[in-house]
Amino acid sequence: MTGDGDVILSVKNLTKHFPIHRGFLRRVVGHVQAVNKVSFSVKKGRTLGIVGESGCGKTTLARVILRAYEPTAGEALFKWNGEMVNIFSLGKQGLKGLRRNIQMIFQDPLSSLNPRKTVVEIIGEPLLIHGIAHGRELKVRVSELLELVGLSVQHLDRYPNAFSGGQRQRIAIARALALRPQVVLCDEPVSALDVSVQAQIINLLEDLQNELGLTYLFISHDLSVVEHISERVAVMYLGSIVEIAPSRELYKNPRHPYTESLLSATPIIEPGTQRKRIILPGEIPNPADPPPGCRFHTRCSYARDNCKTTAPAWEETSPQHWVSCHFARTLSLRGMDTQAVFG
Amino acid sequence: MNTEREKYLLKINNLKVHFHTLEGTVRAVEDASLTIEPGMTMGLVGESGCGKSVTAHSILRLLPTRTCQIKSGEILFRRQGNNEVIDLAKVEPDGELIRSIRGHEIAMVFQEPMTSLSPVFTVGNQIIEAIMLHRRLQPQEAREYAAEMLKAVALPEDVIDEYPYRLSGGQRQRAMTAMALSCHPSLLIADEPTTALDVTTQAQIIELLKSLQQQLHMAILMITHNLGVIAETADRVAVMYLGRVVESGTVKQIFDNPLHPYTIGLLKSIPRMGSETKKRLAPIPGSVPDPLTVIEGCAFRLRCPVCKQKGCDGKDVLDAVETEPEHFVHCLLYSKRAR
Amino acid sequence: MNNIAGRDQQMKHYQEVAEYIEELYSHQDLLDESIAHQMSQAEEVSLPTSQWRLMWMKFIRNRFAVMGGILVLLFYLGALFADFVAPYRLDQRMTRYSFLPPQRVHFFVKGKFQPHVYDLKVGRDPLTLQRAYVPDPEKRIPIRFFVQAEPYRLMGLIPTNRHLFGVDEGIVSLLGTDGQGRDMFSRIIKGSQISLTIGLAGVVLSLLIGTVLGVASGYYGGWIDNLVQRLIEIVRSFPPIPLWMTLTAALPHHWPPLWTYFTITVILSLIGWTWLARQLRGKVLALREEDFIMASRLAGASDWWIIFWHLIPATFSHIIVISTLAMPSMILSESALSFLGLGLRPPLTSWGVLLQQAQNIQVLLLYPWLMIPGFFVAVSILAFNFLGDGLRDATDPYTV
Repeated sequence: MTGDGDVILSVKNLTKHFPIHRGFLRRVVGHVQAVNKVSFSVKKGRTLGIVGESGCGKTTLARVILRAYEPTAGEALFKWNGEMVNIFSLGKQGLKGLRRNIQMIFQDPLSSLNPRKTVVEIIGEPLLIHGIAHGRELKVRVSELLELVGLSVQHLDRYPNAFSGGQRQRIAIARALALRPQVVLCDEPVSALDVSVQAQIINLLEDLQNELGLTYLFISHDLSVVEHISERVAVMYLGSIVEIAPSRELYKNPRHPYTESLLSATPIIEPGTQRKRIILPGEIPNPADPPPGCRFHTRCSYARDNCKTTAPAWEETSPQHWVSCHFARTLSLRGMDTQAVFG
Repeated sequence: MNTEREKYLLKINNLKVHFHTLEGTVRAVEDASLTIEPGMTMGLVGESGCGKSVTAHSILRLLPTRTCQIKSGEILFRRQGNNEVIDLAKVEPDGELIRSIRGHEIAMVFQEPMTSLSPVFTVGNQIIEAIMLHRRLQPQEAREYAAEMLKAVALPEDVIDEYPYRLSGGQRQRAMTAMALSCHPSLLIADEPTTALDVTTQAQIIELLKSLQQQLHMAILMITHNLGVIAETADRVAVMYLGRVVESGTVKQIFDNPLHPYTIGLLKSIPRMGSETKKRLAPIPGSVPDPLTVIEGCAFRLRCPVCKQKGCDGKDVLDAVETEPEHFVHCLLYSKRAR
Repeated sequence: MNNIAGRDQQMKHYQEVAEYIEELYSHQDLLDESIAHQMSQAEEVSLPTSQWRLMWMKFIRNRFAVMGGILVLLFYLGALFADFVAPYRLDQRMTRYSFLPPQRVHFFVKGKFQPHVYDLKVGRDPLTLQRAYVPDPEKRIPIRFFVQAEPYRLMGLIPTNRHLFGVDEGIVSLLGTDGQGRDMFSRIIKGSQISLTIGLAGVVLSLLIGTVLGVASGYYGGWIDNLVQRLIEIVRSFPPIPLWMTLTAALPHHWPPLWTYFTITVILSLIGWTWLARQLRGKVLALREEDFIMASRLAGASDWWIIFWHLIPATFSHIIVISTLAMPSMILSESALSFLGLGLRPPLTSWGVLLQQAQNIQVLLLYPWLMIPGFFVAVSILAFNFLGDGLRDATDPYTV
């Protein structure tokens, strides 16, 4: 979590609360605490995975970093021309410049491409907006981008409905890369795709990272995909990060009970293997009214009295492995290796 | 051979279902055959557009009669009680017979629990309605029975008077399951029952289905694109691609010893959690062709890595090859002719 | 024994094949090229039909809509070439033939196609002293096509004197004449110019207002949305006829007819825009949540860019449908206003103005053909409604 020489994006205590309005006068009656004091940093050319279940705030987190929503508190530092710039204090012009450096890939390639525009118009839109290219030069640029993501130049004048889901996601990736960003936030980029195509897109993202030196923030609910693509993984629950560690370490040696239960709930492809599954009791609490103390205590089988009152502090249990649990050092939790032993 | 034929609960033979759309005929199911025995779980796995849902919906004849047609094939179902076998492919799509089977002997749970429950009635009322449709019970008895069902799916008691929108996704799926199981069906069709749910909730539902299956001794047809879910729940697996069952066998056979190039490709293209060496994924090239394309012979040949190399033109009519007991593969590479 | 050995060998063979396939998957680079070719071939064949083509296919399956479309087209062609289609001028009086009932057209002479009307003997009914016209079958007046008659400028530009049809002597009056001996058919055709364009102009104007306010209201939300919505409610809560009456009564009488015409268009559209604004607002509200709008914003697009690059093109089909469906009410409003004497006044001629003649009961009994303009109003409105319904169904992606 500490700053480092080649950290490109560093988020500190990022908080986003959405007000809840009621009644005729739209009075604010409460806040949905979508993201709560999230901190992490990503090094240049690396991938940070963020896993969590729906409603844990991972998508909001990405959108706040990009200033699609204004943050409630905290800062996001981005390394711009060798200087750390706080994204949240940028003005209108600065923000437009930032957009050339940080881009996003969305989950659903059906909704993220305008069905009424051709491929040139879709991929070329960012170039048009920034006045970088138009006319013939635009076509040349877009053709290069198409080639980069493995599509043919013949596709230039077609509409999105002429493409399969995987091809559409390739188009969306090409659009995100049009401005040559340094950081790409991938919000569930393969979740809407078929299994066989998922692998193609994951490989493409890996190739692009090697070729262009991209930095990824890879958001997904699929633990196996996140493990495959990320060097470091952060686990989110109810708006907060509960554990962050190098991915091998996290999957082998989880130190937070929520991580353990996520790992045990993910089905694995080893038929006949008997696993002892941890079934979490109850439901995810309402983010407008999160439980006091440790947010996970209502569903945690290891919870004690002080979990209900005091929020746990961050602890580095081993190098680079940070956990937010009172019993991070004392619990012996089961990771991927120890789970499948009952064969 | 004879005894085997006796014990099946549902047997689909060479089912062929076509949809007629403005743009042309969609051959949703071209050649699907599978056998479900009482009390077992059959996994039907495949990517979107492979026809797995259409196959399931044609069992209950839930397909739109205006645009959709069962071209050929049979769906043999053994009824409870008198062991009479009827061909569901031939019954009237909205007739008395199929309605007495729907929800009673064959029940179904869907992917979207939000849209499959009515928003204007309480959960209890919907379960009671399902019960009263098939059984003669007093309203009070039905309500007690509904409460019992909700308890069986581990929902709190007061859910009986809640409206569906008040429940979480997992709770709704439980309520759906309670409704589906209220008449003790001999077959439960689960169409992507966990796709819309989170992993931890998915685990809850899988465990629930497993334990209910043991208690009620029903067969489950589990339809999903998630290979992990199949590996954890199914006894037998059928892999579908473009309307055809390309390989079928026991879960061990399919996952430990896959034969069809498509099955092998699928298994190689998913990242395995906790694997020691991090290898590059090996995806199947290309994408699923448009549903309107007509492909003769082997449907997978456009994406098959062997097709070009081995020079099999893929246009021959394929017969299933039984490589070991109960392990069938539809691929020329394994047929006697190719050797 | 032999059997088991054979079986083992078979199994071994199967294993080898499976391993071979697996091996091929691991060498993707080799694979991609050979398969890319096959795939591109497969994809060429299966190019899905474009959205517009699908809409067209859906539309032409709807017979009523196609019929409505053809009628609307005919009406506008008639209005565009009114001087050519009409055999007489608007104010051409043939006093010899006042209150002439519609003439019967005969098409064949001894089996040969030769359209003609009979000459008329004019007399008076001895009892009622009404004028009476008796056709004289002995004297046929042939109807000629592309005859030379009254000079005019085609579409206001090209001077010519050709008419679609006409007669050399006597009169051809398909729909009868009025009290001053003016040919009703010619007047209706000329009147359609105003009746149909006042609708068009009104719709275009209310489209402008409706699009701007609807899109702004949906896209910006907040107080702008609130303001526009309340404004719509206020405009809608006025009873329309008294409102028109007040507004048109306020028009100075000495204004030239053309001014009145334009003011009435403006008045009609000031009331007509609310429907479109509501619809567009709903559409924009849905579109605003689409990821491609978010992607555009995250690429640095301004509000103007998003509105003109994404939102307005996406609502185009809606705008077309809504304006088609708005036409009838515009035409009806004009007719109603003019009929009540509050709208257009002679010498301007519209269907509503023509209908003024049919205001008293005596006219209806004695000269029922003076009501024919009403028939044209009804048919054009039905045609527009059928066309609009068909377009709406065709653009709705949720119906098969």
